[in-house]
Amino acid sequence: MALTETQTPRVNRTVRVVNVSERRRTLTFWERIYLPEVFRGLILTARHFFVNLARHTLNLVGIKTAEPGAATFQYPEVVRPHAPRLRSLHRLVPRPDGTPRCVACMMCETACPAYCISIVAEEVDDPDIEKRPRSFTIDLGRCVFCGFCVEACPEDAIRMDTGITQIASLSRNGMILDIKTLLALKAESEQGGKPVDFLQQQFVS
Amino acid sequence: MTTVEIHEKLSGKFGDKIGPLSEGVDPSCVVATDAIAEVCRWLAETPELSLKSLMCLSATDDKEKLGVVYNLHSIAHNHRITLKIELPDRENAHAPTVSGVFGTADWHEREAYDMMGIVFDGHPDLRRILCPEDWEGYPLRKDYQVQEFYRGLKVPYSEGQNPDRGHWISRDIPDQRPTPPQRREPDLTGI
Amino acid sequence: MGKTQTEKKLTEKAENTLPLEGRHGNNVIITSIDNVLAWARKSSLWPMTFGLACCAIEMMATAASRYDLDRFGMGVMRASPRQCDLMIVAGTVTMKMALRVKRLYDQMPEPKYVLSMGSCATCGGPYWKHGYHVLKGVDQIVPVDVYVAGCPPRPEALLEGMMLLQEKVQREALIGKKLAPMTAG
Repeated sequence: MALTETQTPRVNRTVRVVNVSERRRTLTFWERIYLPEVFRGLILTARHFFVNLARHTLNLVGIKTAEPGAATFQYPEVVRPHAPRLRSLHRLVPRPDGTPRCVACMMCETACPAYCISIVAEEVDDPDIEKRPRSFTIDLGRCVFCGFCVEACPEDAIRMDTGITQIASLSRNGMILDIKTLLALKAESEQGGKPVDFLQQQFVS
Repeated sequence: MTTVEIHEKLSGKFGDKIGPLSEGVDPSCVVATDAIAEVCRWLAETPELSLKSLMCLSATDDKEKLGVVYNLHSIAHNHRITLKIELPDRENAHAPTVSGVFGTADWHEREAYDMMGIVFDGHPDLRRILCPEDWEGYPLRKDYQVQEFYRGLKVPYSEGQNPDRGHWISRDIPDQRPTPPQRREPDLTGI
Repeated sequence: MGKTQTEKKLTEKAENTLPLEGRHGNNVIITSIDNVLAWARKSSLWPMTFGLACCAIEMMATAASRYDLDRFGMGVMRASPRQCDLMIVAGTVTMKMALRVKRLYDQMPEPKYVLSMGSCATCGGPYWKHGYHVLKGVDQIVPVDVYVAGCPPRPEALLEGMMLLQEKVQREALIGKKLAPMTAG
């Protein structure tokens, strides 16, 4: 057997070297005429096919199998679970009385690398909360979902925990969210069921 | 060999064409512009220096003058040196090419020409490499103004834009929506 | 077949607000053949692989086995524009590339649709302010039907955009002709 052990410098590890010509062996007759090997391969594929077909059928009927038929998540019926830290669609956090926590300090607008947040402020009578956003728009077409606005906010007024990542629109301006929509969105833990209303809204309004 | 020793050898050979070595982590020295090609060739061909690998060729602009930085490295001896040349004439910046010495300098110099407008004399094929052939201006210069239109396409984003803030919304008008861009027909000749 | 909620909403919007070249009014007769044709068309949109930058990776991920594009009939990705009807512009469109995008779009046969994937194709993305060589939105050269936001959009987002496009294709059966893409509102 032509196995040699060599010691490479600088790395303390032994490497087995196999002589390449030793790996080949003479093929049998059936292997050389090639067609039976093709059939062997086809039988392997067919076995996978029928086993997965059976798994899919049983899952469809309702019987759970040990392995799923395929690795596919059947979106939109089945949504792949994601990490709770995933940076999804933004929302403005409301105070108990419904007004936004945001005090229009413009820190998120300054921190945003894509310049997608635009805030217009207005005054509030309460001296503890001096300002409030009159309009707070996020242009989702430009947003890169980096999370800098969430990190910059001193009031924890903006969060990216809605869990909505599916943002598609028929027009460019349909992806600009205003303050009413942003306040109405809820955190993922508080939504019950599939939050697709965001998408359907553009057909109605 | 340390960078200081390489610099001493270099000064010994070329004399006053080599400036002093700067301080710091990555010391560099300024070389006279017309001598850079022979300096590089000598550094590559001397066996005890053998600085055959041009790690990077970068063009610089500090608002007054242009410059080129050469990072040389030796694979055989594992030592390095950085050379710089200065080009005070912004309109007419010429430098000799080192693409005869280092093969990689070919595309690096094309990039320096494309981005900064430095013309390398003796270069086999000096044309733009990143921007299209008919682009106007040299983008990475400090005084670069982007062109308004390129073959009929609008280059800067300015649909309803507030120029001082760069946003499309002004402070007084809430809930503004930008005007959508207009479709333009590009000029496709030559494509 | 009864109309779904979405289709009702779509017809309302179509009749009231969308710019159409010839308003059909109330005497549109929808035949089930139109519906079947629209169903066949929407279930077999063949995309052209137009992955220009990072969004291409998410497009590949969508086409891979975890979120299968082949379930929607869009698994047949053709490289030639003559054989496909959907162009997914995935990635940053530079000025140099924009001319080629237009050329390839012209070579696609009708009916053709464009899906602008990601932030860069929608409006130039993060490069909209300082990117000198970036085309600020691919809708400057081709008419875009659906925009998908994200940087890059998750596969779920792209699939949602595809389903929106499928609804749009189905809607064309309701009004009998190809709908002009919305550019305002």
